[in-house]
Amino acid sequence: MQEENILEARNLNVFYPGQRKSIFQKPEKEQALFDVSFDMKEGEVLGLCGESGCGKSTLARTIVGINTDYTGDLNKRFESVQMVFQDPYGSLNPARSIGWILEEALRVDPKRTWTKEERKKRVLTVLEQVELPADFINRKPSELSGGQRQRVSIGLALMQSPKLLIADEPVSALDVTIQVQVLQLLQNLHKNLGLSILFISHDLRVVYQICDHVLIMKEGRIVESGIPKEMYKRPKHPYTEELLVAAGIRE
Amino acid sequence: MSDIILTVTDLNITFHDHNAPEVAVEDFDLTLEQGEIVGIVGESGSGKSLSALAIAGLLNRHTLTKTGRIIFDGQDLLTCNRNVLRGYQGDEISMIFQEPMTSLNPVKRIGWQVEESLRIHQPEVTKEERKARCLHMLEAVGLHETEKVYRMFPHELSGGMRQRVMIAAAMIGEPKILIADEPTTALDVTVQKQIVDLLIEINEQKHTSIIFISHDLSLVKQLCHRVLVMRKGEVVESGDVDSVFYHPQHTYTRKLISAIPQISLED
Amino acid sequence: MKLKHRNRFFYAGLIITGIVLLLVLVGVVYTPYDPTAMNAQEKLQGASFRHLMGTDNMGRDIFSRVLYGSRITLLIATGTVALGAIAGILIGAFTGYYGGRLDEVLMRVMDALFAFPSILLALVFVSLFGTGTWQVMLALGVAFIPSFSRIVRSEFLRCKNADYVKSAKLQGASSLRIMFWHIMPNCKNVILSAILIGFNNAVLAEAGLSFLGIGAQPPYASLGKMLSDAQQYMMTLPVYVLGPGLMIFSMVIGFSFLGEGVRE
Repeated sequence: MQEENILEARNLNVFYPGQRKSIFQKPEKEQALFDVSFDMKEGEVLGLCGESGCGKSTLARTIVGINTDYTGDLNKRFESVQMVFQDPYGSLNPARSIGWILEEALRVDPKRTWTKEERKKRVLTVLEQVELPADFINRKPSELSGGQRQRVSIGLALMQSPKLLIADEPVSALDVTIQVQVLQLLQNLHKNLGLSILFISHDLRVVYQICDHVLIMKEGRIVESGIPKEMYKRPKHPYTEELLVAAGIRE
Repeated sequence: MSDIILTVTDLNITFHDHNAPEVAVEDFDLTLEQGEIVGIVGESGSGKSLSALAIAGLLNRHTLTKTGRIIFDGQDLLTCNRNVLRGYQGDEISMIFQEPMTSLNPVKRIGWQVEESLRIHQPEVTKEERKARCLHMLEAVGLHETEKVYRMFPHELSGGMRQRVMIAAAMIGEPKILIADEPTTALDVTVQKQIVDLLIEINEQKHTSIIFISHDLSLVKQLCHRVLVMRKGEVVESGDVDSVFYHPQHTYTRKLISAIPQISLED
Repeated sequence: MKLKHRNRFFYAGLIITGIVLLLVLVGVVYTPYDPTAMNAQEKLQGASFRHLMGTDNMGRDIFSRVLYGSRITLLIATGTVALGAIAGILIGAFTGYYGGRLDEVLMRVMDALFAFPSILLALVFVSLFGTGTWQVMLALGVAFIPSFSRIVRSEFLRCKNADYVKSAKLQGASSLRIMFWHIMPNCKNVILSAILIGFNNAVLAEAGLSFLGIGAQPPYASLGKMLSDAQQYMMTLPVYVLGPGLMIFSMVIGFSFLGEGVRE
């Protein structure tokens, strides 16, 4: 079966504004990504792995369109993309109820307008998909545990039925036993909804568990890419080796 | 058999913030031998950090009661005079924290911060000797160009370097016990490994006893001799690292271990 | 607002403010005497059942005048806070959310306004537009803008980089919607507490201005104006000073307690 690519990046160079020296000068540009090229197949879980400052979040921001200052080709074959963020305490509006937060995604949906009944129904469907009880719509984020919040965040990302989900370190702020559950949920969604997931993580063990392919990034460049199992067995780049040793996966 | 330097018995910590008292740590026991590394693992809210803070004498709030005994150097740290306690803090017992960004004072130079414990506990040491010991310590924790680092401010250093500075500041008074509260959680994996190696080195060279608090079982396995597993304020299992990891008795310990993604590199 | 903040300050404030507001409301429909009616036979009388707070130097019933004056004082305070809060919240929201040059310019204007003593500003207004209730309201209102805009701006700066704002953007919410539907509810408590503190300052500032002779003109009087009139009778007729003084005190302490209660 020939799978379509949902995302293709060719020689992507991404810049961001540096420090502004005075209010009358344009800030100088700094380069965050260098010649990044990769393909992402539809329906796959692609891991993006590296340490802080390696450019993995910049790449995510470029894909969702927050960073627009780049050269090279970024071929996006999806209508909408949503993100799940790392910190379950910052990703839900503390002043609103879970029901409001989820419904809001439909009220602002640029693709279509939703009637009140449709919105209600969709919220309940999504809550079921993320395995939360329906009465959560009346709760405030502060009444939820970290794992529950992260489920709501995932649900929020699913509201507009995106083709691609970018998960930026979605489990790193959670306790290990909760991590397992949230990863399981992502895997279920991936299977049941045919969702493509770009999974950003610094944790090579988690990446191994959930990803079909993985890209290793260092200092704005992709240094290695491949299938986790093969890469972990025979890393080609010394940095991959270093990461694997540090994570206690290789001796 | 080595000497026991710290004994904690029946430590209970109860919060009185809300209407009903809330038991955060229940019947916590710990004996620490000279030169031993004991890990305390558990998830958030398990009471692992609270226990450690109590041992370090840093848990003083009006809304909280502590009972039990923490015997160090023949003194009960829970009931002893504040001045006695202060004499131990930072000198015999020192602590490093999770967040290297906030545990250093942003407006003071590195040298000043590392020397602080010497200034307090060993005022007889001359300025020159203080600096010499500080530079030596910075080098011992693996920092280069120590003269330059000595004059730097925390924001000029990376996270890993800051944590090294914290360790230098904690170790300069040659404490008997070092309490490390998730010291690597905020760091990148490769840096994490370096810090763990550094702690092992300190333990081997100075025979400093270390209480290492972490939620990361694989780190505890690399570093610790003994481990306590905590859950909801209680120690559910304790013992030798290998026996806890390979023959866990408690279901919660098993659950924690199975939460680590297993990776087999065999075909 | 939900009565979640069950604390003593909040309830004490609620009771005191409630009594003040009740008196003022009663004063709208009924005062024992016409607050402007002079009576030469009954000048400077002490407190009695006929005149609860006595009469002033022109024989007017002080209690009726306090009720009437409180209304003017409250009106000015409300207008002042409303102007300051609405303009301040808008400026704070836009500067905080958008940042950049707009922020630089507007915040420097706010700094300049803040550095300018409000009494002086009011004097300038009065000399330009004449004395009166509306002029005082406008002058004080403008002087109140910077404090509101700063509070709201700092809240917006705190919230605008939160992940929930990013995800709202990704879902296609417009900037205005994000500002007023997503971020603003998070500023609710600070704004409420700022409004209550602002009310206090407005009552005090109005009293101060009227004391200087700017503001409501005779025969009508605000509380501050009454205090100023009562000054010379302080020793002979203490109730003349006590009446309006007590009213100002009750208003200020009531709002302070409410503000304290909301903040907790």
